[in-house]
Amino acid sequence: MLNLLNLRFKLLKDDKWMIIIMIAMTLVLTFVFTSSMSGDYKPSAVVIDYDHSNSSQQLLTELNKSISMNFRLVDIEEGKELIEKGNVIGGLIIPKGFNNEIIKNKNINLDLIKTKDSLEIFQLQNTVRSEVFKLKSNYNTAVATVNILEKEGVKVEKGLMDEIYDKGVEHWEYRNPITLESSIFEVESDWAYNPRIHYLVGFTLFFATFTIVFIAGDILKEKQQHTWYRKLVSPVAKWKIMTSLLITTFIVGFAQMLFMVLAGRYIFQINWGMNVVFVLGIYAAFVFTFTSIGLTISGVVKNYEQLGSIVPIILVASAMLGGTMWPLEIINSKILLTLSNLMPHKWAMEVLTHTAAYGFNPGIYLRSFLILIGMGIIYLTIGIKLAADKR
Amino acid sequence: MLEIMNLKKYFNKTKAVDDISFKVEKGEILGLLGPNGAGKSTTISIISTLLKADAGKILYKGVDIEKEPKKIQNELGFVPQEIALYPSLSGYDNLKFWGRIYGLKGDKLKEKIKEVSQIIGIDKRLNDKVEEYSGGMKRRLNIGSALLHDPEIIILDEPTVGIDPQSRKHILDSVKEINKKGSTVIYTSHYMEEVEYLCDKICIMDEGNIIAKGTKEELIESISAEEKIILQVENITGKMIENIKKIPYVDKIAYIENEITIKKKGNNVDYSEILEAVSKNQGHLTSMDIKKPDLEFVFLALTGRALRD
Repeated sequence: MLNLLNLRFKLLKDDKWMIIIMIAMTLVLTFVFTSSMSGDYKPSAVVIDYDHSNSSQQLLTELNKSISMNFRLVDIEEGKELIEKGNVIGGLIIPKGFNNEIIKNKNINLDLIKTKDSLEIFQLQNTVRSEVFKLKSNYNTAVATVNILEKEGVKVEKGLMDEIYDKGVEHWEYRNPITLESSIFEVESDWAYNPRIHYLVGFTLFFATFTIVFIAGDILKEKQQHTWYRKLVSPVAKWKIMTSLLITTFIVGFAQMLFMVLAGRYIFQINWGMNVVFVLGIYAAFVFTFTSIGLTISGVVKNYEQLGSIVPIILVASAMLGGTMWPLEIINSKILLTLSNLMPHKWAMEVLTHTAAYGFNPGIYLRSFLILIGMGIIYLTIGIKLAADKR
Repeated sequence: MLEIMNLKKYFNKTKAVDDISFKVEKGEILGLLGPNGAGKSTTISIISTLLKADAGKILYKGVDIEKEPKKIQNELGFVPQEIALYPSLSGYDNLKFWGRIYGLKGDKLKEKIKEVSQIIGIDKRLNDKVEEYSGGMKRRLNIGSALLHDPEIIILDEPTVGIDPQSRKHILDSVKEINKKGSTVIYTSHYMEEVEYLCDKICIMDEGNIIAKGTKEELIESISAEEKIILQVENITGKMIENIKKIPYVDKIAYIENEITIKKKGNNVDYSEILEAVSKNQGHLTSMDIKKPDLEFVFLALTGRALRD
């Protein structure tokens, strides 16, 4: 077994440029995409205020502080025209009664005018949701504080409530306490979108799959070189031959993941939200799944050249469906969302982005981990059956 | 030592091996001779446990290899027809890997690598990458990789395909040397002269069947051997062949490229009739040989075709 592993590691030098390029591509694209998200470009949106209340004014003030978007107060006609011409990405309508809903702590429903779903609309929803949540929370905090003070017999001076409210605003200034869900536009939703984490995780998974599948595909190189058959007639057990290939593939894929976890921490300043061991655990499960998928694909195609032409199609499509390139939350198609459940990327993305935003949730973690391992076992069974075929 | 009994292997409806039986005794060199597609490679793939037979049995030292493949795998040196080496590794690393596969290690492995590399004549280029080797050197290393563990039985599947005469000679001499050291050899080829030079016993295969077996002498004897006439002719035509066939003493005729091989019958031969048939059909005769019977001739006699048709 050691002899077989030793051989595989020696042969890895044939793949060294592919591994280096895949890591470099992950770093470069993550940097480019996250830079573009935080660069000079700020999409613009309009706000149509039917409530004309303190709360709606306050919301507009907070929206204008947004570092990622520009907001402009207009009337409905102008708003529609600007959206139709594509001068702004969409419009937020603050309905009559908004102030009342804030004061009475009711569910808040806001309307959005848009021409299409896009990442920018998604960003708009996210920003609005976040600001409304802060507004509501600050108001509730101020009301609760004043009530407590009055109960205790403290004479509450006029303006104290505003002061507490402002303190709340100040507190949330650099924090993003809540999040959003795409088209269901409810403030209570709890989904956060952090493009930096999304792109780092997405590109890490995407490019690692290429490394993993092509290294697992070395079985095809061996078949073309006929060394595979020579090994099969030797006294070495077939399971050892297969395992040595799988172990090497796994180690290379995992090393690439480990590098990106560290790059995320020290280059992109990402807080993974959980112990790095757990992060690596999910990545390990993902690598296992794709090692098995690589083996299965290698069993289906006839040679390494065919693998080279079919793999990019499979991997790009599965990465898109799995939400590595954009959040699945902006997808409305039920078919695509159902298909995404079959993609290992989805489960890895879900747990990693969710945990980075909200912290560790054992239930979500375990579910994703087990689904990935389950997929891996299924593909491994199929892959071994197909790839072990002698001629 | 090795007994093949009623072996059959089909690929879909094609009969690759159709009910063949033969024995290989310890210490002998058995040649499997036949044209491409005769079933030689399929037969040795089954013997080496790479393929499973559809029917029949193979006993190695009395043990059924389908039930206990390890028995033959441990004692087998298999040299595939294709170069089965890692091109990006050095010759030394390749030998080391294949040696370790068969359980060799430490000083013993180093000694065997040295010994084998001398036998196959690549000891001076051992540290070069295989991809930098010539075709002949790769072929020799391909053989060397199967010799490290002193196998009791060695199977060589057309090991001289596509190499220069010098390397070919080296390989044939190496095989003889290996055999002298005690290994039993099964050697497949479609080169009649290789099999004649090397083998104690020969099985001639065609279309999945063994059409004749025995020693070279027995095989030639079996077809009531006659001399054969070999003509080198430019511009061979179908009509020319037909005309030659009509000559009374011509028994069988085969041709390939510019060469016509004729099996004659009887001793009453007038060669001018052949010359006339060639010239009448605008052929240009460049040489004419009268040869004593050989295995090529045996194949022609049995199948009506030349071995390399």
